[in-house]
Amino acid sequence: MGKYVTRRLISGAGVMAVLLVLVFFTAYVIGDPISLQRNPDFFDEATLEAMAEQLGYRRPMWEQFADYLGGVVTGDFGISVTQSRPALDVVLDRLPATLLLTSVAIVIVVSCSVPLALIAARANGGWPDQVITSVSTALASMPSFWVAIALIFVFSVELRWLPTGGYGGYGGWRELILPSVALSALPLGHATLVLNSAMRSEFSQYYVTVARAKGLRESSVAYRHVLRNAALVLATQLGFLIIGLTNGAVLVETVFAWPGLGLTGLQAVQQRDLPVITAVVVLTGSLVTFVNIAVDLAYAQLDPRVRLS
Amino acid sequence: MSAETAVLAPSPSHAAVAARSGRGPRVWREVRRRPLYAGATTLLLSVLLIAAFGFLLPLPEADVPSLRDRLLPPLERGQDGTLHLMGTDHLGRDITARMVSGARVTVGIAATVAAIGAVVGSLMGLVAGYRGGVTDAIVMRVADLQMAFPTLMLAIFVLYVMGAGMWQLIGLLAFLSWMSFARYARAQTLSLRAQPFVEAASSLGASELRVLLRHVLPQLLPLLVMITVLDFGTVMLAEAGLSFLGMGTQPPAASWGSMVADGREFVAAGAWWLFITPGLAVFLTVFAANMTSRWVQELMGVTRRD
Repeated sequence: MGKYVTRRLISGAGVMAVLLVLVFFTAYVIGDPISLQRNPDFFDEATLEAMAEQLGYRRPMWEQFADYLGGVVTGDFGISVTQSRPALDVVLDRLPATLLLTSVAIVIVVSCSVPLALIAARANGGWPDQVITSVSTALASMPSFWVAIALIFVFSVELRWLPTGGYGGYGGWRELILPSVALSALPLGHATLVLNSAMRSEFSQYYVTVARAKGLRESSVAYRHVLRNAALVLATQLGFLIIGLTNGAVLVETVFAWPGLGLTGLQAVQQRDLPVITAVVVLTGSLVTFVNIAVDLAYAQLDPRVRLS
Repeated sequence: MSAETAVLAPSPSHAAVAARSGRGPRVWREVRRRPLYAGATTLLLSVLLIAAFGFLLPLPEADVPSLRDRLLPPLERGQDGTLHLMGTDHLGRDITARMVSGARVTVGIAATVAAIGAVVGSLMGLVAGYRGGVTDAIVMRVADLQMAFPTLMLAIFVLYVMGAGMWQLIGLLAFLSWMSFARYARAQTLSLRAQPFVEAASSLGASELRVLLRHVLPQLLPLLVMITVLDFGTVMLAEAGLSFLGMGTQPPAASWGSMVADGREFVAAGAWWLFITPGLAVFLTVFAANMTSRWVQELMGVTRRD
């Protein structure tokens, strides 16, 4: 197990290293941060050049890179251009909203996809199977931002049941309903399809035949034997689920004006606020990598084949 | 999808179908057996046709505003008597015409990216699987790394630095879509490499390239077709999302994603036809692609294990 943990941590560090280099090269080499601020109404070329000189963007590249790396390690991403306070503070303020939204979505996806996939797998080709498979495929084909707008149109504009957006903190469940439904629709479809195919192949294994042959009830075959093995597949899917939700959150937060990391990042792009963008990309990346490692370790704990290979 | 292996195995239906003779009746029998799949495939082909030849249709100009005909609901006539089948948008432009010109952008980008991803990814997978060793390790590490990361925020960042636009979008999406092809192609090549016919070909003096392209690749084609169709749908969703955020084609040109973004502003005013139509088009096309890929999978006897 110790060896597996080390290996996994090293590969996580690798992901972060590549990400950091990529962000640096995109921001500092392809587009120099000063030219991103270029706006002829405010600055002339000479002022820009002076700014670049003063802020250290004309130093050798390795010096800038070392500076940037040092900043990232100490949590110093620079001062937000629009808010005049540390970029990391801006981003950390928005973190709870994203965590709330994505955790609710994970709960929805897991608690719906497992029973749906099980019903479909047990029906094996019958009408419940066909209905669930088709509906899941449909869900997995829906653009989340469009689902979000459609929900707003039906439940906020026409029926006036729920607010069109905003954030009510951890007690604001009325604001939470539509965004979390919109965010979980597509991953729910995906998860149901994947789990269904996993359960279907479990049902054709010999241990199922054995369990049936010794006279177990069909429900205990399903719940005690098949479900346990399929749970391992669910664990492998969690990583993909979290990545999907992080991507989806950018779109859904934008539609519902949900003040999370996705919306912050997008606003920072529109306002050309490089320190905040860097902080969002690096923070999201480290969070996802961290969660992925945690999921993999939990999985290795569950399945000896993984940690011993 | 960690144990993402794919195997080619003749499924019972495939064997049964192969036993029958005659090309025409077989197609019809399959269509009648799977009406939903057949419908989805027809829809997908129609969307591709509209994207390619839609500009030949007698429709109003897509980009010319007509301020007296703003926000007309579907089936209304404008001031000059033109029928607006899907209504008009906030600038009085005909939505049907914009849907057709948007199809060219959205479908065109998705198809181009899926094609690039298929060619690049398959070649990477073939070489990685056949060579093994360091080449394999490097290619698959990079693929894993890209798949272990939420790329949307990074994509927005890169597009912002490079400048938003269609070609930047195509490049970026292609960069993000080769991995699944590589993984499948590699898994297949690994198992095919051990087969006698590969050994026979190389012992007869065939070059590595020839073995890969003439002997291994043809075996992979059904699987690659299936993944290409599937990937077309995935890319289209990504393209629509980025266009929705304003990172794709720039106005006045339309793409389905940016049309939803335009329509979003008028939801509170009750103008539902602005956002429903383009979003529905994305949804139906992606759904059709997913269903078609499942049909291809069934017909060609490709079994996919996730």
